[in-house]
Order: sequence, then structure tokens, then C-alpha cells
Amino acid sequence: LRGRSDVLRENAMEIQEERIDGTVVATPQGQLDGATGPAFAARIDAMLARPGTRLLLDFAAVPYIASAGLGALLAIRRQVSATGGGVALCNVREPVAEVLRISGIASMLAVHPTRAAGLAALSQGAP
Amino acid sequence: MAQLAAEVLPVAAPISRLTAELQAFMRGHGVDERTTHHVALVVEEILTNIGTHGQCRDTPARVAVTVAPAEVSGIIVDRGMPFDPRQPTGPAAGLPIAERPIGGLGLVLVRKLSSRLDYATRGGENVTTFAVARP
Repeated sequence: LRGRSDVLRENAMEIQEERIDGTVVATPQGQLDGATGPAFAARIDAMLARPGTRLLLDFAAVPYIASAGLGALLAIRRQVSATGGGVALCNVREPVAEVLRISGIASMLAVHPTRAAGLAALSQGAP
Repeated sequence: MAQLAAEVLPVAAPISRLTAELQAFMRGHGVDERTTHHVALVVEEILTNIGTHGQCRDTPARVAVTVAPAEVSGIIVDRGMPFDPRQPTGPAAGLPIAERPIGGLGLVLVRKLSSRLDYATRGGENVTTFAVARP
């Protein structure tokens, strides 16, 4: 029998967190789908505990996103808007970027080609 | 042509394992990154809809994905409530795309990313077929 901890571990998504020039940079690794989306949102939610946090999501290691992952991104955007911070994406792979465009999320959440571009935009107060 | 067939409960963790397996299968047969991604997404969203709205989370759905030179096609058979994924339904249908509930957004993606999408009921089962064109 698989216990709850096994299920949570299976659905967990590894997320590297670092702080660069006052911006929190989160680098998730793996599929962002119906199984991992809730845990991903919870981890990012914890990173946004301080009002005004600037967050850059580096998606270089996210090869796949489904609607549950899009929902997590929308929730993150809403939280950042409510607390006066900023959030942006960078290094998004093309199939994932296409889904962001089709869903309309790319028009609500800035997508930068590189980490340096994302950090620069966030540090200047632009998403 | 190569085919991967599986039975899967339409709930999050088994769906996630299946989409990972599907992507590995398609990559192993030389399918490009875009097609691989979108086929996995279509499968996930249809299965998620079956589990969420089909009232059959305890009954496995049958999935088969076939790699052909011009497209990757799939068939999903389930015993849930009849539902045609081609039809926009519900109060969210008129909302801007990013404001729709996630379930509705998933089916919007299915319709936009599929080059072919069909649905029929046969013998008490829902039969959804789709394809994603290869470049």
C-alpha cells in the first residue's frame, strides 16, 4: 500500500530557489501538470510570503505544461498583483510558450528570453 | 507505424505517469518536441475531463496513441457520462480565455491544438479520437 507521504513525494516538483539582486528566482524541474501543479503552486506561494516580492520563474527545465499548470501560474499572478510585487517567466521552451500564447496567459504574464532579461525587467519595476 | 496502448484511471497521478510515458515513447520514435508536447497535453486534458465530469474516476479509460509519418493520432475510450469535447459548454464559454475555469481552459487547448477531433458514443462508451499534425 502506498501512503500519503509516498503520494505527496511522487507529486512533488523539485524547485531550486535562489535570490539574485533582491529577486527570488525559482527553477522548477519536470512536468507541470495535474499531479504536480498544486504542489508547485504551494511552494511558490510560500516564496511570495513577503509583500512586494519580485519573482522570476525560470522554465528552462519545464518541458511540459497542462491546464493545471496554467491555473497555478494564474494564481501566482493574482497573488503577486495583490501584494504589490512582480512576476515574470524566462527560458520558456517553445511548446510551452505556444500553450501560454494560445491560452492568453502570455499576455498577462511577461515572458523573457533569458534569465538576465527577466532579472533586468523585474529590477526596473517592469514585469 | 508504432502504437502505445494503456489503461489508466482518470485521476491526476496516473495521468501524469501516462503522459510522461507517452512523451518518452514519441521521442523514441523521432516525433518532434511540439507534437510530442501537444499530444500529451490533449491526452491529459481529455482524461482529466473524464475524471472530473464523467463520474468514472474508479473506472480505467483505454488510451492508444499511434505515430504515423504525417501525424500522431489517439483514441480514448471511457465509460463516463457522455460528453463531446468539441462543444464549448457551460457558463464559462463566453468568458475571455484566461478567465475560464481550468477545466474549460483545458478543452479550449484540446480544440486549438488538435488537427482532428471527433467524438462518438458506442455501446455505452465514449470514444474520443484526435490527431496532432507533424511538421
